[in-house]
Amino acid sequence: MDYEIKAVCREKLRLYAKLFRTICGFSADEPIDPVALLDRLPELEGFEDVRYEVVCDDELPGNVPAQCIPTEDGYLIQIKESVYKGASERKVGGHRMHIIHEIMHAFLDKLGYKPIYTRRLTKDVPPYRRLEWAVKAIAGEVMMPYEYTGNLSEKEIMKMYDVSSAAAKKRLTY
Amino acid sequence: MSYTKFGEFMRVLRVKNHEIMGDTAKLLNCMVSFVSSVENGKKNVPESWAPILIDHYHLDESQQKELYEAIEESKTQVKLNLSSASVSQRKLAVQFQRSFEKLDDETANAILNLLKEDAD
Repeated sequence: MDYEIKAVCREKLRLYAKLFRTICGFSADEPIDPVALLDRLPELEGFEDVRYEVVCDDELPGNVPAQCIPTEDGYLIQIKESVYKGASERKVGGHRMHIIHEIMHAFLDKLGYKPIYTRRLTKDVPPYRRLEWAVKAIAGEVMMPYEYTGNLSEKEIMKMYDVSSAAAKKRLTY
Repeated sequence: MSYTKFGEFMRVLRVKNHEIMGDTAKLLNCMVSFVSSVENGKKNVPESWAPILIDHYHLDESQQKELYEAIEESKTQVKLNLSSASVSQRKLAVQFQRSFEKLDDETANAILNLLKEDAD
């Protein structure tokens, strides 16, 4: 599911990614473990109302590895058991990206990138006005900082930041 | 939604000990989703967990007290043994069960204070 949001460029998302690292107390280049971050969220400034739960795989639709849903008092991140395990055992880089992706949903929403329409996005909208594009982009920027990956190969990025080959390849194109 | 008092207790313990929920699940020999549902108040804390947690985290006396209080406050179900209860006690238990969902906080606190006075 995707929604139209106010326009945002990658450079701005890059700055937001740095802000997020600062809020979490991470240095500009250290690798982030999204699984360990989940328990820390309520202690981070601005994230006091973000909770998570790990659910049985059949509790979410097959094509949904995790989701961030607004609740009456904040946000709830729901993660499939298999995705959580894949991410925590560091076997699947993509699963770690799914988790940071959902954290970024809450972050961007707090920064004011809320759906312009309450209905689903159906018309053709450019990427910089699409919520899912923005969330994917900032998740990549948070996990693999732009300034510290320029001289690294795909394999080096994968090793350093514990991400999938697809994510590392994408990093090298921007 | 928010974590239960037990969930919050566990979250803080894990952060302090650089652990994640997956470690808790391994320690307690269960699925991560089960631990999560307990911490989110969907299921009761199993009785066998407290001694394991006390031992693993080397909880001191005050921390143990805090843990048991958190477990008590996080209960999603309470069972009453009425096998040796008097007729009046049975009536009270059944009426309480019927009226529970409609109780507002003010009335609940008034009853709580009354029962506490009786216990003291």
